[in-house]
Amino acid sequence: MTEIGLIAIGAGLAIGLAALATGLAQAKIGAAAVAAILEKPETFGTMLILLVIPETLVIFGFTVAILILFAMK
Amino acid sequence: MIEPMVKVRLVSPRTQVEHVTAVLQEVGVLHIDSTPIEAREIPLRPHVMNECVRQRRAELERLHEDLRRLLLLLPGIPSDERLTARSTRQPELTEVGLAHLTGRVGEIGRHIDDLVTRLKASEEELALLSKYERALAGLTPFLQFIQKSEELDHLGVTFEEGDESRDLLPLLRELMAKITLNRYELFHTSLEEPVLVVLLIFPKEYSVKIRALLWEEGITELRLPASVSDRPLGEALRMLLQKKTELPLQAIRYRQELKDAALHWRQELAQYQETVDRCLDQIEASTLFYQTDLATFIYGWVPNCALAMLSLRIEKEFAGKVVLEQYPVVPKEWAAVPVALRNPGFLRPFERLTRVVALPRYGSIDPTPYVAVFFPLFYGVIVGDAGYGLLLIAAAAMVRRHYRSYPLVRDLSTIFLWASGSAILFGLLFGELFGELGEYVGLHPVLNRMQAFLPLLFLSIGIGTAHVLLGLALGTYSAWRYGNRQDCLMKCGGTVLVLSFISLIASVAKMLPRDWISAEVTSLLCALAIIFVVGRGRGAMELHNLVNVLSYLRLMGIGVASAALAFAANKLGGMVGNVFLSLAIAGALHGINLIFSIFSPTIQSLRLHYVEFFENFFAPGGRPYKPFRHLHQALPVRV
Repeated sequence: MTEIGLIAIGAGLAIGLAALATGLAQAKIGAAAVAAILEKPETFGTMLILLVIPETLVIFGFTVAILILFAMK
Repeated sequence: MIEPMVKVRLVSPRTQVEHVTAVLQEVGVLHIDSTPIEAREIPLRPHVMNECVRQRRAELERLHEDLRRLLLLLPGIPSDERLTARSTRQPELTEVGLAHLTGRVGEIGRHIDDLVTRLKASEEELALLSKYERALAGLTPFLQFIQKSEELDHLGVTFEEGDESRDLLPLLRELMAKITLNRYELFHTSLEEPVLVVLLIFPKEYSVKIRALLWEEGITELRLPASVSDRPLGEALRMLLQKKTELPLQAIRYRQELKDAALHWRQELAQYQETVDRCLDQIEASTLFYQTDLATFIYGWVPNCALAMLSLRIEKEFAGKVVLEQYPVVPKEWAAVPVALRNPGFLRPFERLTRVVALPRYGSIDPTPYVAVFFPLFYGVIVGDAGYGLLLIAAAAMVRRHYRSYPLVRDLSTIFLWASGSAILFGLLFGELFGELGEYVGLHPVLNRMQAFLPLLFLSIGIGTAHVLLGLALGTYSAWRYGNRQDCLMKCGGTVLVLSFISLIASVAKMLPRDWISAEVTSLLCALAIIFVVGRGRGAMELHNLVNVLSYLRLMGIGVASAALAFAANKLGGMVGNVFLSLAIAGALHGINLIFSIFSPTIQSLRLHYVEFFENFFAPGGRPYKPFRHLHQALPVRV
């Protein structure tokens, strides 16, 4: 396998695994948040914050992928 | 900003308390404090309603219910001016006035109740009649054969035409002939496709036998309403037909009468309701007062800008008999002070975004002005397309114009107007107009989002650093105002930590001189020492700011994803030979991207505020400012 191929696989894994982890976390938080908002609609703001917290993971994954693709060549 | 509040105490003779309450309600700026510290210290007794006031409240509550019921019964009228009711003080309801009002409401109520009862009876009877529609429709054609007779009986039956019914009709004829010895008449007609209606005429002496026979054979007799069931079939049918014609006209007449009653009385009743509610609110408010044998004490909070107005009014009304005293608000009382946000008109829509989380505590910082600057900035960086920005600005302007009377929609559309404007500016910077189509109209990217990834990455981190540092600076100021030296030092340490860390990374990446590294490491260690020595375990929370800075990379990440989707839309559209088809494909994909551009950048921009920015200074938990005033009364001061 060529070096470029390995770089591409590395970048793909970086964002793919991060996205998977974010998805798993958000699925659980989202389900709980919907239940909480139904009980207490005033918690919408707090729930929104909790829901978007795991998105940092995929952003980091994306950044690492960009760095792998463009800075490590 | 958070409106500065003044703590006030009103002392009035107990005999004047009702008048004072009415004036306070009319001025509408005092947030009554139900548990003042002073009341416990002096000690004062809570104001207790006497028997007379209690009875008055019960009477007013009854009136309120009656008025509410009557206003619900009356149809709405276009010229209903309840919402524009005068804000001047309503005449006070004296004992005589209340008795007169009760009598008047009772008189109007009886008339309306009578009308509604009659209308309801007509409508119910009409609804009942519709259930017998089938019987009426089936038997009406035979009405000419149904004559009033002492000897003959008439019976309507119905059954469905099917395989069985073909046998039922001859069977019926056979049985009737057998029972009545051929002294019967049978008429039949098809009502609707499978249903057959049959009229049987026979001597009365066979009635019991024939009805029993029909029951045994499972043939349904056509039933008529209970009101006419004891009448002969012919007479009952004629009565029902007459009612069928008369009842709708009757209902229309009653509805018109009710409409006339609404035109005549609705306004009057609404006015009464307002007066009654006003009196009830005054009685409820008086339960929050305190008293001694001779005086009544009222504690509360007034916006600083409204204090002079309240003071003048009290002086004018009571000429020194009621005293309004003002007290300074000390920091230890801040938790109890109600919060009113006061921002310039163009910032006010952004208060909605602040309030999604919570109302800030009194004495803390209102983040609205910062949200108003950074939210559109972040949104613009993420969307960064002049074409999308133009479409979004047009949509926001249209929504704002159409839903002007809905405050929430109006405010959100105003926010989007600013945010879309920012998207246009960044679109020009990135040279994007529906993706790379900007090139065809002479747009040249200063920063190409599809190529200059690393500069974009640095731009995002730069914005993040500035935003987090601003949050830390506000946090330092807030801690200093609260007199919390420990937090103040920790925030200072946190600021040095972020600056040293970012500077160190820049030096390692050769963007800053490498000679600075030792100084940067030293300041980093000093900052860590300050944070952990001062804050101990809590110091770990300050380290979170380093991660927070990196979180701003989403500005670049989601922005690039949005740009890539726009480019892909153009590319896919261009791959099809047919012009119309390619326009449709590109348009659909741009449409999807535009919808994403409404939700995702909004949520991400909000998150950067709520999580990364607010956590350094925002103190939630403010008590909302709720002045004692009538529900429909506008606030006399702008807060």
